Amino acid sequence: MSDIAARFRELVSGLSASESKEADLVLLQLAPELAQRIRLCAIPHLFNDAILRVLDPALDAAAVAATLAEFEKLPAVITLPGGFALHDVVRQQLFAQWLEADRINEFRAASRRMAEYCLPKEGDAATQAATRSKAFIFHLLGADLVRGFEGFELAYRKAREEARFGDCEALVALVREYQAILGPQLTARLAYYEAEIASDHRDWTQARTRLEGLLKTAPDVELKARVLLALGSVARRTGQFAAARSYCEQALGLAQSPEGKTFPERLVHYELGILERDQGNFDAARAQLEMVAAMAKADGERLPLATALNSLGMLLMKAMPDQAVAMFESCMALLEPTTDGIRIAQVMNNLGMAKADLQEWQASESYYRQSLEIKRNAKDLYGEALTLLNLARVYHAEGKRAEARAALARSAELFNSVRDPAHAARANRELARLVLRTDKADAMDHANKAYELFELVGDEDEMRVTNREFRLRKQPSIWSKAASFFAGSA
Amino acid sequence: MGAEPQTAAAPPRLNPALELRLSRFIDRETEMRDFCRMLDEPRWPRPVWFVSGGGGMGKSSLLLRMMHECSSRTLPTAEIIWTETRNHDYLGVMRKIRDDIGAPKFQEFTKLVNFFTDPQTPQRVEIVVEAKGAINVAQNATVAGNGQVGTIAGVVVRDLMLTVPRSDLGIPENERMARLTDQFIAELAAAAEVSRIVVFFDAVEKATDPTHRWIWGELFGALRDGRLLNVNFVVGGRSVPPIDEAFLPLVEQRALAPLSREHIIEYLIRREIDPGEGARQQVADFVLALSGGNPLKVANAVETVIRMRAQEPLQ
Repeated sequence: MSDIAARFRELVSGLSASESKEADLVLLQLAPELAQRIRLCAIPHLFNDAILRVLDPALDAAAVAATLAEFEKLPAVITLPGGFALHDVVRQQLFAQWLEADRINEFRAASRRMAEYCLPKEGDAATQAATRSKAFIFHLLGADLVRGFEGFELAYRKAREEARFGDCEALVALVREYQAILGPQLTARLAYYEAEIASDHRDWTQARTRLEGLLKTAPDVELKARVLLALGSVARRTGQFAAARSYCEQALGLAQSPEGKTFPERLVHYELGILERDQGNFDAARAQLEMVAAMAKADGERLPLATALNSLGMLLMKAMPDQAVAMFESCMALLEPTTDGIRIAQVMNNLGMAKADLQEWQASESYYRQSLEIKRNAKDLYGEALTLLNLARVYHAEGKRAEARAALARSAELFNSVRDPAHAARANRELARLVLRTDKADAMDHANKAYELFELVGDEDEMRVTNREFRLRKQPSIWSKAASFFAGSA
Repeated sequence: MGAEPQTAAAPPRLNPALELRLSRFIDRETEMRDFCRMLDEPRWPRPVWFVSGGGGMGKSSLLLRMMHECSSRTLPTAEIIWTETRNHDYLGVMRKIRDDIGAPKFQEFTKLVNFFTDPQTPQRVEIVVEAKGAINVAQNATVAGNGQVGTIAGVVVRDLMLTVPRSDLGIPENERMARLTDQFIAELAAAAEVSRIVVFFDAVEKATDPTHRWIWGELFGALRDGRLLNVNFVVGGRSVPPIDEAFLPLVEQRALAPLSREHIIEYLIRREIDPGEGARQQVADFVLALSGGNPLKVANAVETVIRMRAQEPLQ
């Protein structure tokens, strides 16, 4: 057998029982001191000269350069912007070895150095700071699991509050790399966040499966109460109201128990309030939401109180619009223009609607115009188009036909530009209705446009209504029939 | 034009490590040939290439080879690689494409990014165009910070590289995303009128769910709706995600197969570790047994033997 064949045979027999063949092969390619350095390079996700010096502080600049020049030649090392990385398969195997008992102390020390290195610094560009803060949390977990997990939870909650769901997912993926040493308490908390992410993505099946599994293993009362509440929310959103109520009542029971004091009871009452609202139980919904408002007020929680007042306002809008207005005004007083831009725009719009229900047209117009100003300043074309559609109805009621016409024309134009043909169709139809008596040709033009747009989205009901109302004598095209067939079969 | 990979008269300069890697590239002839056909055809019907394969199957190497091919044709390219800590969201993807293609082509996009992220950006930038006399553009515009991304005709465009959206603006995240994407697509489409653009996405399995949905719904949605022409995307990922039927006609799917015995022998020869005709099949069998034809494992095994032989001759 040739020398080369003998070498390969030796490798095959030597690695036959290994579960980390790829990493073993890389280590075999290097002298012992370089092998130790490549092991260290498996701790971060990316390495370069600065990082290598942090990982192995004994190295001088020349040794770092020589090491990297050697690593660059390895098939398992890939070049990335800003440095190098070990191939995923190799890194995962080496990283798993770091978490074993005989290496964990050395790993913690290296992770501590890396955490200090990655700490975001003043003067970092925000994109750089975002990358560094993720790396900081990752290495803090390696240095001190409990403190690192606290850091992760803080960053996760902040990202979720700001609706940065992708960042939540990326953070959870980082913590998952430590699965082997997390222990039951942290594993359960991580599983809860994974379920929360599934729920944020409206993946109800996955959210429910994860939460049900977690319910059996949750190690403390607070987490169990959170899981029950999340299950209640998923059940409500999927129309399973009886199950939702049962979960919420169990969560409430735990929140009221001595061990559940750390879990805010008002969260359950809020969910129950929404559940009652969705089931059409007006009085029960009102009672629950008023309880939430009282609890949030007692706790001095500004945003939860504002949310409860806005929800109460929405609930009261049809039956008691004057009380709804009072709720929205109280809510508005709690909001901060510098931080709550979206909420202010929403409440302003709600006030416009409530005043319109009270037929206080001038006040309604004023609120809608303020909402419109916010939308325009924010370059929110869709929001601007919707507000104009609402405002046009108020102008019409006030007898301001020219203003109504201009608002509807602009609304249709904006809906077109944001590619929302269904709303563009509605704006065109409103325009056709508005001008029918004064300018029939123009009205028919807009009615035809509305019909074509409804046809484009395959809305047969609206096509029929528009056809009949304006006597367009149109026949649905084969194309629209096909579109509605596929929409039905989907 | 032929469909074979081009050998340019004056190939672009490569760093030695990259040159070495490209010189060791084997197999994937079919993929490269078809990729070149796509580059040659002005109206290639499937502008998205999805290259899938498990860890070590050679996706990144193939993408590297494709990028080199684009570079030898002087086609503008952009490359986005996802890692665990550098997890590009939709804005990160657009910024990277902008910076790779040329920031001056995306001035309006950059201004809009700053508007949505920087609380210091004035809410109204007045553009003054006087009909008579001098024409003053962006007279009252202010630009702050040090994130300069390009200068064109004396106008400095800066991206402040902020990531967290402004909380004082009354615009929901979905709308912010739609506005930014529309502006970006419009400027990318304009840039692609001048020359074909190829965008590479690698390790896309690490992208988060919202980013995946943006890539398919918004970015590839623009291809489907005909708003983006002359732009190709090559996506490397562990597995192919479920593709919506509406996108199937746009996507060329390639699952990378393990290397065959013949390719392993070709690799041994390229690495100058040819055991000679008599032993080639036997060595290829050993390598196959160890690697299952996984290119990373093949390369690793061969590298190991080369280094072991250099260190200590077999007794």
